[in-house]
Amino acid sequence: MCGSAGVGAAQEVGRIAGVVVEASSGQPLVGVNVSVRDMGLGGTSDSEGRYAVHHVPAGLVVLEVSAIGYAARTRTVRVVADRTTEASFELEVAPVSLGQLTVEGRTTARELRESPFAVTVLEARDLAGRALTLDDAIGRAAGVRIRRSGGLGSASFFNIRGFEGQRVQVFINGNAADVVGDALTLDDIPIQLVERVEVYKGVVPARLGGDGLGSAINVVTVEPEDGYVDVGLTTGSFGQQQLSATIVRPIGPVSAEVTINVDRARNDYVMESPYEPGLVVRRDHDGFERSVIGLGIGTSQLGFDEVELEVALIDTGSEIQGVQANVQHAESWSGFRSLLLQASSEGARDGRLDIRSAIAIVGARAGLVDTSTVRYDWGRNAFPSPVGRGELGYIPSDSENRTLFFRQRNALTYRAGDPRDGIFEHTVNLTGVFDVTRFRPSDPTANEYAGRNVSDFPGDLASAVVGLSHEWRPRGEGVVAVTGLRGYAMRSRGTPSTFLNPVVEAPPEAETDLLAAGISEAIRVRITPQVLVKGSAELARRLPTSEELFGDGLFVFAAPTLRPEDSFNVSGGLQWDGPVGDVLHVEAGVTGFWSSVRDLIRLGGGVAGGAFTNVGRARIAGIEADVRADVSDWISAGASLTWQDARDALRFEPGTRSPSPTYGLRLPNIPWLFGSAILEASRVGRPGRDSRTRVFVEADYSAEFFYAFEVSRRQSRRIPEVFTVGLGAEHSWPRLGLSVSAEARNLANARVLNVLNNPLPGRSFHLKLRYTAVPSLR
Amino acid sequence: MKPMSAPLKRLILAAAALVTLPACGDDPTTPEPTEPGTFFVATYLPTDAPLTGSSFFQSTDLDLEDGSTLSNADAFETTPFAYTYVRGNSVIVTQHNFGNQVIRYELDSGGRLVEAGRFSAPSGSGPYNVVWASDTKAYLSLHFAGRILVFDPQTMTVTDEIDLTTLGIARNPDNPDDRNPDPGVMAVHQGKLYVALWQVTTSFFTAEGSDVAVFDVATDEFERVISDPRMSTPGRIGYNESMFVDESGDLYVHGIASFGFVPGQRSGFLRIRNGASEFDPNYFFDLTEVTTTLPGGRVTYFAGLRYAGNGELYGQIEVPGLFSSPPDYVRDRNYQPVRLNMATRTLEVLPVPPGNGYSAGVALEGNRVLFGLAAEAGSGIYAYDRVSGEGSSQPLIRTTGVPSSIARLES
Repeated sequence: MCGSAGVGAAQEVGRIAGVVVEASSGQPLVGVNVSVRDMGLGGTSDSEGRYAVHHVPAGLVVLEVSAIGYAARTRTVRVVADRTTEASFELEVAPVSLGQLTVEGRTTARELRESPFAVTVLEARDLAGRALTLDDAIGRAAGVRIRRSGGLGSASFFNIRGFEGQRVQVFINGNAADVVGDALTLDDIPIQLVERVEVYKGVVPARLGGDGLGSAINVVTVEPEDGYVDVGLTTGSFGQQQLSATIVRPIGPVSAEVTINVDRARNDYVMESPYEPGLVVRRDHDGFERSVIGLGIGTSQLGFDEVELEVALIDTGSEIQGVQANVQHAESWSGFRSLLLQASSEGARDGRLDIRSAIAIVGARAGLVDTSTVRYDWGRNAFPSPVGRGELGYIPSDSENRTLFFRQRNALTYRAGDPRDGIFEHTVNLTGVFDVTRFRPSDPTANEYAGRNVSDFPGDLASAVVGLSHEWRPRGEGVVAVTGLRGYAMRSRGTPSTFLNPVVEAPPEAETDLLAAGISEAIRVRITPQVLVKGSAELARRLPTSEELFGDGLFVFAAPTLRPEDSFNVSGGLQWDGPVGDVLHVEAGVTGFWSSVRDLIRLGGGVAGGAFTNVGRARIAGIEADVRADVSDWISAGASLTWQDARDALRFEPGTRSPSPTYGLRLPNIPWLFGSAILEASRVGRPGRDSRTRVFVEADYSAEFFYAFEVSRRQSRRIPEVFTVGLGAEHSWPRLGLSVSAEARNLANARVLNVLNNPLPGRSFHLKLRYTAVPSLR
Repeated sequence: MKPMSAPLKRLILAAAALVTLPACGDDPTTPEPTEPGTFFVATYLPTDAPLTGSSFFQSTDLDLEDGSTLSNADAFETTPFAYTYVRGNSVIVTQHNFGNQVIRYELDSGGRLVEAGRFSAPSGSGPYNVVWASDTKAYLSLHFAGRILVFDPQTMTVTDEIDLTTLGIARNPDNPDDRNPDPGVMAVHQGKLYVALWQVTTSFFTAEGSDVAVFDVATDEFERVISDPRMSTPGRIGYNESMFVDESGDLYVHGIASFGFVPGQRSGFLRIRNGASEFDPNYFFDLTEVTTTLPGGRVTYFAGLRYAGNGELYGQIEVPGLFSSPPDYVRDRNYQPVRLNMATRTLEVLPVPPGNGYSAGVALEGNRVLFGLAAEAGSGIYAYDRVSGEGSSQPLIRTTGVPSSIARLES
């Protein structure tokens, strides 16, 4: 029994043949690829749409049919020895018309799922028709929670396997995205421009150049190679309006791309105050505006397969909504400008060598305006600001914090050995990422009020991350092993906060050098054509951030002696991909995981401020399961459930030999049990001949969890259990490139919070219109 | 993905200045029996960042001799750094910067705390200190709103409001828009309500000098502001014990000098003589001038304190020389139990280990002074014997979290 048993030479074989036609017209389709999954067998349709695949091992096999501009199909058929099995297909024009991208995305998604890593892949087909932001879409992936403080544009963070915040790495096209503070978020990326989202749980591929404690999100955006138009308009409850337009046109030897995205929301939903029982208020200072402009040109004429130059401009403005207090004036803003030059060449030297290189320059600005002379209670009664100005704290602010960022990223992939079924035995990847960041904060208003410098503490940071991985496939598709090494080097220079530092002599400037390394091993074994076994282990590191090292110039003091956090992660699981009984196709997986985390960096609080320190230890164990099934030609269903148990592993109170009262207790403020489910029906040709209709109902559940350590039966500070149900429908006319989708979320208007004391919107409705065209296909 | 906003972080951290749950009894000069009884104990249990944990409080029959561990299994939970005020069998909890609720608990016949009423302070008003004028009248200072609420603690209903915003401008000339005098600690003495005004200029920084506003308790009418330039930042917010009356009827005010962050400002004690209407020009116990045998030789202000009579005051005083560099607020033990002699203006270091920044609980129990400390030997209640002069190096009672308030409840 081994992964390649299905293609053994001594097996009995049969033949598959049929015709491929276009569903709406019945016309034969030429050049359609028909392949047998996992066997390296296939054929192409001729001018009459006929195809044949020979020497197919007897038994159940999965046929995959794909063509540019059409929705890919799969079907499970039974092959009988020495006979021809008939299998004909009607292909629909791709409903989301991402053309070749969709087909390639599906293929890549499957390759990723079959990689040794524990990874969930969200595909464009799952995302494009939804009236969701990207954050929310990722939050629906198995094993992932998105935790938000409010509506569109609000602060959010992901929880994966018990890790949150900066411990979960976020990448955009393989580039770490958290390098310029708040100026760039995943929500800034229009969901229509996302080809796929890779959610790595546990071991993160070394080719992704970043640091973290395990788990990562990598968003891969579409790169249309031909003429392409995509316009989407979304409107929804609470003043949500989103316009997204992308046009790609070939102009001579280059391809030009323009993307414009505008988001607005009032976020004026009604909330029940968590601070005053019985107080129900409509939020009235939570407006959000964002504009994204992207310009790009690309060519294949400069000695590389592809050379691209992209410019992005993102601007946001947010009113700040109070929950405890009635904030009416404070606002934040940010501006982001980036220039990206990248070149890639794939398949050189007989398909053995890939080279990718990119340079990015980013300028970002972010600020807070908080200068009101009065504050308000919920009765709209005004009272003077405690220090004369400002609604949020003790110091008014009109800040402009500037960040200048430079990155160079180079990746080289080399394949060695003899290819077997088109797969090389050895693949080595070397990725190097070099970053330089200059941070220049400024807040003259705060400085003037404080009578001293409380904000203008500059910082510089240079870092290099080198990832080396070796993928070994000793038995073709049967076994894959990936060994990864990561090295980190960082030099950071900053000005420690002295504003409230009680230590008499604080250095005017501090410099920190850090070196760290991580290692990982991931193995995948194909037990049968449908069953994969995966296992992985990793020593992961997260380097301290500039703020952790040097403070925020105000209440967070410098801690230049911080060490990296480290985590030892182990993961193992089973994965099924194939038919089950009468169910056409089932993807299912169950994964167990365990982590031991040391030197967690926590902010230690003092009388009037604090400093970060390496103090925490934790053990995290958990199991997650997910299943997705094509129950029939038109019905599919999916569900996921995650249980993660993070426990305090600090045996003694910090700095003492005194037993810690929280040792062994569940770490607070972390979701521990959650899941989701979706049932979806999709029909072609109903109600109109050239149309496609999709409806779905989805549910989401999260168990109650405690905000603080659970030590009392009377404990009241809890994030409540949440169960929500949503409905959606999408109707598309593929030949016209039009689609309209409507969604209703939180139908029961359940009270939802996933961050303490931050109520989220109740029932909401969303409508999305989309026009997509791929002219070259017409 | 967006991290917590900087202003929110600032707001949260700003609240750390006003740490922990103090409690005040009625009359510090009355001897307490050393027998077991019903105590009020509050602890702060941090999580992974300051102010993200919770405070817990409970009534418990403490036996200081049995060396047991006090669990929080039956404790009430509230916001971090909530303030508590004890009178007789009642406890009033205010939620500091993190909540608007003002809640009264009282002992039931079974010796357990039960909720006896609540009201909401105006949102974002900073409900800090509570002082009783009588069984049916109490005052609540609204630090951020520049107001004082008058309420009936029996029914927990607000009966009146005192506006202090005319008192803010004069003391903060640098910020002419500042009309809030930032009221905090209060004391009721001889029919007068004394309100310490911080006159905050910016985070943790206050104007030079000390202002105390005086009101008539019978009419709630404003009478005057008593000022003195020698000491700054009057009253340790949340700790009514920082404004106390001695056996002679003299009112003492502890100034914390902007937590020691403003060079030149002086911490210590001023005095208003019994019957006087101004600070005693002949008395200022200047803590910034005190030299000790402690590392660095200097002290700044008290985290928790209690006047014990006969001119003796006990508390945990901050010792800057015990900070590591950079400060490590988790492991540093820099609040040292000491005794002051208010008459001779001297400081004596007690043989009790120092605690970290959350260590503010102080109580008088007969001859003992109880200290709530997170010391190297563990978190719990430590004791100093005023007769023998001996202190405990180990906690008499271990606690879940740092005991930030200890007080005897009357059944």
